[in-house]
Amino acid sequence: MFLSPVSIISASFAAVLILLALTPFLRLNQRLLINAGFSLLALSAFLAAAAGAWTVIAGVAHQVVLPVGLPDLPFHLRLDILSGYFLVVVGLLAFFVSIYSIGYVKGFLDRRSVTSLVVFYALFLAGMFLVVLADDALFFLIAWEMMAASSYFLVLFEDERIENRRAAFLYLVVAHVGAIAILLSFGVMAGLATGFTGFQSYTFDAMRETELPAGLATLAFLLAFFGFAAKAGVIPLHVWLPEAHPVAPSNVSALMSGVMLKTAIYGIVRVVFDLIGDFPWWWGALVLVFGLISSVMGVLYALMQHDLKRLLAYHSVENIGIILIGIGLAMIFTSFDMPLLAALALIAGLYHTLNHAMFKGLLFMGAGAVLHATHERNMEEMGGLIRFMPWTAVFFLIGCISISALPPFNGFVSEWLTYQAFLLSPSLPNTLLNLLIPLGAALLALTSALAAACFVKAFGVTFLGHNRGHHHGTIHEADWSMRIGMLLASLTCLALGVFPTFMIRLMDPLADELVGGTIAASASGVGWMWLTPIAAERASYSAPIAFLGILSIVIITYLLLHSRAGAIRRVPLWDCGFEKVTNRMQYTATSFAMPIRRIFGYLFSIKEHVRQMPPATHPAFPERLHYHLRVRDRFWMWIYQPVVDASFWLSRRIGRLQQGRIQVYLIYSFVTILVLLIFSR
Amino acid sequence: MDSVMKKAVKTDVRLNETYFEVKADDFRDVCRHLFEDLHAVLRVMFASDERERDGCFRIYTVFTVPGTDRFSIIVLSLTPDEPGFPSITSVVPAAHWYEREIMDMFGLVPRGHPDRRRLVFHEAFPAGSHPLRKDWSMVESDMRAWGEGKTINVPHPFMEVEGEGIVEIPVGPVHAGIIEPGHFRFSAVGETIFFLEPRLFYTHKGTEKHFETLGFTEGVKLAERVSGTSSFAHGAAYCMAIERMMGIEITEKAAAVRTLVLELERLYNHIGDIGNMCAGTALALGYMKGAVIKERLMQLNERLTGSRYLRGLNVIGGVTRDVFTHTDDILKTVDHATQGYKELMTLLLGAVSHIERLQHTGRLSKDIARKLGVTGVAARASGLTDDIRKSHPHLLYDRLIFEAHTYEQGDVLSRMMVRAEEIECSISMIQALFESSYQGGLTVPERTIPAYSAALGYTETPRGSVFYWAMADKAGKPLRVKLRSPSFCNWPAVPFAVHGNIVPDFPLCNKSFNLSYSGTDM
Amino acid sequence: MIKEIIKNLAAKKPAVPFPQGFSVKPEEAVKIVDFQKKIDTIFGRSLRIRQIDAGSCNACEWECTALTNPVYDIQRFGIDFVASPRHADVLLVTGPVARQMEFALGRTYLATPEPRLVVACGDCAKDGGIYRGSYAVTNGVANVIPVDGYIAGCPPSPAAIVLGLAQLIEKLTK
Repeated sequence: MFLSPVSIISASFAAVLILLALTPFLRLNQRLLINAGFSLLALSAFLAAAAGAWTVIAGVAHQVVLPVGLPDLPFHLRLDILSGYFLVVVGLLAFFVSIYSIGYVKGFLDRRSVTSLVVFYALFLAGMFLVVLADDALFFLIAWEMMAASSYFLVLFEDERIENRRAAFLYLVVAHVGAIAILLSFGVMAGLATGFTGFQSYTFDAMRETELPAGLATLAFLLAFFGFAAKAGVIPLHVWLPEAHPVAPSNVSALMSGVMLKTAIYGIVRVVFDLIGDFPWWWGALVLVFGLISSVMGVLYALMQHDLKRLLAYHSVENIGIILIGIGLAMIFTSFDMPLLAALALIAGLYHTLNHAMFKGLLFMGAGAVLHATHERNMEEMGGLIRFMPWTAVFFLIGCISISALPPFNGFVSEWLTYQAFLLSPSLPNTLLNLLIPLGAALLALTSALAAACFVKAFGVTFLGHNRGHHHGTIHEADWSMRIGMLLASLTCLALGVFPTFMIRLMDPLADELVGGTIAASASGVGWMWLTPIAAERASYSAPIAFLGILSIVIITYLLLHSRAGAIRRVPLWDCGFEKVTNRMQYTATSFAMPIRRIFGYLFSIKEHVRQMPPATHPAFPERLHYHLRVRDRFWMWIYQPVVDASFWLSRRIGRLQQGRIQVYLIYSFVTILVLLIFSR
Repeated sequence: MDSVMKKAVKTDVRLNETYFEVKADDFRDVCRHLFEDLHAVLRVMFASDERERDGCFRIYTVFTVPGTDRFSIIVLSLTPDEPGFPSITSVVPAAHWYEREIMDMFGLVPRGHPDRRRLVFHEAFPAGSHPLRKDWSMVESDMRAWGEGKTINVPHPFMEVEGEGIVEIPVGPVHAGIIEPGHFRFSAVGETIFFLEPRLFYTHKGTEKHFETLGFTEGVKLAERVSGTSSFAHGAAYCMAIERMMGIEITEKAAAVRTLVLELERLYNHIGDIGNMCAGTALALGYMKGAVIKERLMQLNERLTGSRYLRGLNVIGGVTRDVFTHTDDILKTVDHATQGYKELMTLLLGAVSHIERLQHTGRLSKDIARKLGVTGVAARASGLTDDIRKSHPHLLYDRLIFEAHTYEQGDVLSRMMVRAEEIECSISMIQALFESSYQGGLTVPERTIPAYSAALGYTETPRGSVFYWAMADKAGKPLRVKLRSPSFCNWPAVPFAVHGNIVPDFPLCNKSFNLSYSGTDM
Repeated sequence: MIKEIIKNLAAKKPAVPFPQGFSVKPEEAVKIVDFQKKIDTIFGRSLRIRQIDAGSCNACEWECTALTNPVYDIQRFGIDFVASPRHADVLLVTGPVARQMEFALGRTYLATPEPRLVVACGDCAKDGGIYRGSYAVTNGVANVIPVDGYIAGCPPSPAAIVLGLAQLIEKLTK
């Protein structure tokens, strides 16, 4: 058959290559470049997602060896169920975002050339697909680097501002620190196979077959976890996330937050479950602990923000934490030989991966639409946008509801499954774990509640009320392509929320392959409408019924209220008889978060004061008062500042070698040659 | 004092009031000397339109030098071609509202005042219109526009706190409970109040001008209705001013009646206030207990005087009834009230949740209290010994032995405890007053008021010191009646107590001060 | 506090007597009991009062506040004070209507949904009282908003206010 997953994915890459080839000719007509380019990329993403879906459904793995590569080390590609699932995750969101980009990128046309954006976007997309398909260490790292480098240039798109350049640089540094760790990890795994003598076992197949002794396996795991955690934005390696995601153009932020972080998850799952395979319980506990810390701290940081995109970026940290919770639990259950629970936890984690990609992408697309219309990222300057941008408001609201894990949308299903993984766990042989698991469930509950609070703030301050800003230019609704992108993402969120049993049936082979357990049978044990993870008596949720119930109540209430003409009167607000209400008299984002700041404030370094300016003649008669609030991340001071200081110190010391005189350099060369002659044979 | 006397152009002594007339250039220095060097307290500052007498406006600044029973009144005469006077607010911050009121009512501009906005009149009142001038009038259309409140003749900008995240919360005029109207503009972040600006004078009824219309005798009724809960004290202070003008002295019996009833008024107010503070902390039991005791005392008031608010008892020259004939009734009711008060205090001081809310909330520092001239319970709770009954003994207060009760912290709990101690003090004063008998009838005959005579009347209301100053014209009718209730001094200090507290604590702070809007707005 | 509660439950406390002059003959008491039904007729449920101070000296307000104390306890009639005029059935206005409160009073009146009643409480609200003739008052609530009933007194005692409300409802349901 001509048509197979491999051929479809090749067609996808072909589309990317065609675009890259056409770019030099199209770049004079920027509009055409945008339309053609993003349409091609949308097609490419769609094809990749289709290929991935086919693979997952069919359950067959395909391997390809490319003729390119280093001498004697050709590139291996593999399209198996795990890769296929992540292709669906990446491809689906990329498809929506590419359609959205057609309209969004047009907003940059009056200011700069968008050629670099299109090109690097294409490379970024290709890089992510290749990471998921790579089957040997070398190709994996090349694809990883391609992904990192192209996203660096994308973050640096608006490079006239210094904070953008700094954010991009920070991102690059952290990405490469992570990449080094991954490289070392692969090195450990590959080297062991051949006893550190040759390069032949650089393929994943070889790594799968080697039995790693405990110590080296741990080393490999820790290095891999560190490297992938740096890319995923796990606390404490998260500092680049809230800097880089806001400054990138919003379609890029959607992709970075939605799918690039997931490639790191893919990496962890691949290394732990596939390449290493056999591991002690404390690896899972480590992942679980980091997941919990990331989720709680991430949402607390998010609550303190009033920059809309930074808030969303911190939420990515939180959701990555939730995914890691699922994966950590899966690891724990696997190490204790409980395949059913492990499958549940793993499916919960991976389902959340797909869901997060969908709703985070949707939220970033919405934020991009708002930014496009108001040129403002600060929530304190917005307000009342629902009147001008009703469609965007509705889609953003769907994203908010999904991320707050409320039925009938998808966030609820994956978080509910994660809770079930916690709550259904029996007592484990290890006391520490028995303490950790209920604590973890409680922290997850705290996270969900705080996330809901944060999104009430985000949606309320941005879209509701009156405009708080000072500039009242014309604010218009997003154009059709942006709306279609957001609409498709919203529909997917709804579908994933209302038909969870189908998704679980699709994901089952994945769980089977990785942890050896399946839950689809028990999950739809009472029919397709009811989601019953282990057994119907323990826990059940009927998404379609919930959805229909909510829908019917809303419709009935609406009809009841609007049935009689004149039943609803619109009158001015009751303002205690004062009437001169201004737009300063509504709640602000900073005020909304104030009680949380007071309770959790000790986790941050907060400085808040009111200053009298000028230092007045008499405190009883202030002329001007200025309120100032600064919330800082403590991790900067604890981890980054010392590391940065140490590296500067070290470089200064080593810098002494740079004498600047040619005689000294000649001596260096001479000494080196002597050493080489003596010690090499 | 000598330097003041040296700078004075003219000195006049009447009873315990010494009038020093100074030149405009010396005005500020003299006031500064009194306030900073002699630690004098600014009692009241006002202007008077005496152009029919000698063609001048006059500014009177009444100081009390502590330790003496003397009022030092600095007088500044302004001819009509001088539109302003040097502002003393930078040296005596307590003068800030007085000077703005003078500007609104007379059109005399305080030069150098840091706040040039109107105090009394809101935006719709026409500019350049000053009601207390003798030649003032207003056309009907302006009057209607003023009432409608839509036109903005003189804008009143509120201070906006700069910085991101500040929410402005506007509250009232019409407040949520059964309370008087006033507007508060909070600048808050979440729950924490960073700045508060009150805007009062919604109940401005033109009382001072109305005194001039009604005449001195009817004026007693008007004085009683300036602030309902201190009716008797206002009436007593007003009558004292008129009696001093006439040069008559009331009988011992009348003085005893006035003293007793002043203490009865203080008693029902303080018990009601302590109960009311429980409403601020949602301790319904304490609130209702306090309300029941207050009801008993108010029914006693009605039995004694025919009015629950002790109205109609004061007349110029004495009192209308001999309250001492109701000995048993009064002593029994006060006894009942004492028992109820003791139960209430035991309950409140034992309720940790209540005391927690009160402690460290609404702190008013001693420095601000002194600088802004705070008086009464609020001053005593912040460490200032300010009690007119002690510093300027009048009626029978010189015969009663008592101390002014002060606390140092200045928070809501201190204000409650000051009230509690004063309740006990009032109860023992009432009992002490019944131990003697008093000579004389109820009233003494009035005398004609000499032309252009003036006098000060004062007493201690439950909230603080009240001052009346009256001047008669050549026909013996009122030329100027100035009234200064204690709330006028204390309102500017409330924002300073509230800064840094949370919004739900604001009603509690307000109730702890328990200031009268009507007394302030006149 | 626990001691207090036990004391209240167990002991018999002497009731605070009604003030002199406020004793109701049994025949009149029957009419007042009908009050509740009358309120139901107009408003469908209990009566809610929004009290507005339009410049009074505050004595009338304290009398209104005294209505909710355990002695008068108007809540047992189903009457209560509310915070927002949008929840109110009756506007109880005190004060001679200072001109600077006219606007707020008008806004409050407009914010009260129909059916609504306006009761002017006190001598000042009736015609300006002692303040009649001052430049800063409107000489009575009727000059600002339409008034349905008057309760005289300076201030009217709490008992008088209740009787006044009762008579107003009586008149309206005749």
